[in-house]
Amino acid sequence: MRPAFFSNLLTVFIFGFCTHSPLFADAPGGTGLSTFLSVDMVGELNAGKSSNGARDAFEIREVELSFFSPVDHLFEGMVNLAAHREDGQYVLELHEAFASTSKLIPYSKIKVGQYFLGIGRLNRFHRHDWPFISAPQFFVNFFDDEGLSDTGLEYSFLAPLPIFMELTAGVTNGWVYGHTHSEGAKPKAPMHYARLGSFFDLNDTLGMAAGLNYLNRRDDSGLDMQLIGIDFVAKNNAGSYSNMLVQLELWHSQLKPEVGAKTRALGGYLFPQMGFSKTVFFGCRLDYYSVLTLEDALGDEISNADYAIVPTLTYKSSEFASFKLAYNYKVYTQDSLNDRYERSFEIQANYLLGAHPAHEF
Amino acid sequence: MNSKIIAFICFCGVWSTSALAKLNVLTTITDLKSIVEEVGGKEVKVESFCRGSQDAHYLEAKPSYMIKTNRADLVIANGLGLEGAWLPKVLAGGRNTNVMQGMKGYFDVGTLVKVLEVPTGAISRADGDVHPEGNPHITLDPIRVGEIAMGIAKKLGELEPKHAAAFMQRATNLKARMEAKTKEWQKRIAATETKKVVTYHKFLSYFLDRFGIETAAVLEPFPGVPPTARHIMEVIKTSQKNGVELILVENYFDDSIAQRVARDLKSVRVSSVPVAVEGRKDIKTIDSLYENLVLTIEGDAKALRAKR
Repeated sequence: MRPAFFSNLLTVFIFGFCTHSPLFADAPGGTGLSTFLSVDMVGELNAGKSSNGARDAFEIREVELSFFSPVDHLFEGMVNLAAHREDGQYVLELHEAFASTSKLIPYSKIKVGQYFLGIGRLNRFHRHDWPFISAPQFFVNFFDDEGLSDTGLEYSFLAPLPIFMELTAGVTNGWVYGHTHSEGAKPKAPMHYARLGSFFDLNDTLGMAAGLNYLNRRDDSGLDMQLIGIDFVAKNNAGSYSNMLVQLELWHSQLKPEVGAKTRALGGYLFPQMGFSKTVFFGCRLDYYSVLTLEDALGDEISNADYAIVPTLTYKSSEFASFKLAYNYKVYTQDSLNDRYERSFEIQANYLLGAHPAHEF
Repeated sequence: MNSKIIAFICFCGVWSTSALAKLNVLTTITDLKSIVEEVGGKEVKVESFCRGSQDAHYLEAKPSYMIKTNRADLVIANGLGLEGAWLPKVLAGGRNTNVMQGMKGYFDVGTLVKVLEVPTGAISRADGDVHPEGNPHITLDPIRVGEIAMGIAKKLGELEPKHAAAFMQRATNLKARMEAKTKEWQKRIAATETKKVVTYHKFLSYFLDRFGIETAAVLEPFPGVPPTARHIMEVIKTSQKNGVELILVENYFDDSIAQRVARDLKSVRVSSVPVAVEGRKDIKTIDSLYENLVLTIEGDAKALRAKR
């Protein structure tokens, strides 16, 4: 039988359980178990002749079902299942399942299981919590559409200093990279990563966080992949909403096969956003991506760069429902080739049911 | 010269030892900070996550709070869901087992007092940002603040037994003072003949309840939801029907909506009021917070009488 059958069966079971179990009928007595559902609907519509072949359809991109609760006096547990649209049908798969604790070792937080790796900015947040609809081009190339999740162990240490300084390091299987339905293959070196993050209060309302990131994996063929990047976010809290947000990531990727030349690429985005009220926000994302080692047949460097401008208007009726409208204007440039343009509109409707856990800064 | 250096080092040593010896307390809101300052005295060093000008519902789990939590001996929360959106993340991020929920160094004052506006029947998000545990703004009532002070004194005494008696004495004094002042404030407010008011959010429910003033309408259609044109019209009608003469806007919010309502009503005054200690520069203690509210109501009543 097809895997989709099982996953759909599981969906029916879980939803049935959630809606009929006395556990969810009211407060789950004494367990602390909370659950939430996130429904993310996205549409991409062609705009103009030189479009990117968008589907011109408004569809449910994913439905996430999360459970989180204290496991015991030391550990907390989280399970996140997501149903994605793939080849015309919704396939339920495990996004995250991990136990974590910050009570075991002083200054330390430990996470074990399958989770989104604690690096960068976007990778640490579920897609429905991003301030824009879709991932920037570099992110798709380096981390896949939704970010990197894998099974392993993550440790983070809060330095006993007057300022916030946190070192996170983790090791995961690395059998697969990004979203895949294959089992993958045993890597020559497992995926390992680190992030050194800091935070500064500029005043009572304005704060900024920054991180230095590193990731490495050598796959079964010996291809060594190394990512180095910075992330930055600054927010000004205007009472009940952020009236200013600046989010930035810049990453360098290097792929080094056992034999042959290495490939290097650079990519990033800058997203400034203004909040006009508790409900209306406007931001504009600027994307950049370039393969630094592109060469012609004679070995001469080919200059290339992909750019995008993505103005995004957001309406939030509350913290549990948001609607976004974005215009994607992408330009692909490469020496000796004509520039290529893609234009599309994106719309998103997202809502949450249940108790969403507290957000990070 | 050497003796001066030695004396300086000794001074620094003594100073740092005394600073370290103090109980390091973090409160979520400034009202609680003010209470702890009085009850704890010199034996306690206290800081609040939330500033008086910030609405504690909407604080973010800033990493700088985690650093503070990491070094705290005691975290005092208002509770009743007020800090639910950020405090759990701050406590987990602080990685200080002693102050995590359920531990000796965590204290929730919401459990100490009788709570108002506890929803009955089924509630959902269709009712806005409603707190299932009831209205969390308990520190806006001087009598409940007395009870909270006693609870805080007990908790501080558990952590610093040698100063327990002093903590309890100061809390008793605070409670007695609040009871005495409340009687005075009740008389003064009764003299204004203010019976019904409109507020922006239900911050002032405990204060108004204590002083016998009814909240005729709230500018938010649902808790946490900004006013809509339709709801404003309803507020105008309700205010007319109830003879409301005063709109109190908690100073976290813009008073332009209230001014808009006042334009449609005869003889209605709008006052923007701090609803937390340090919510305005001159509001430095819990006493001055209530005193300012009483003065505002008195001032508005006087101005309305002069207008008639």
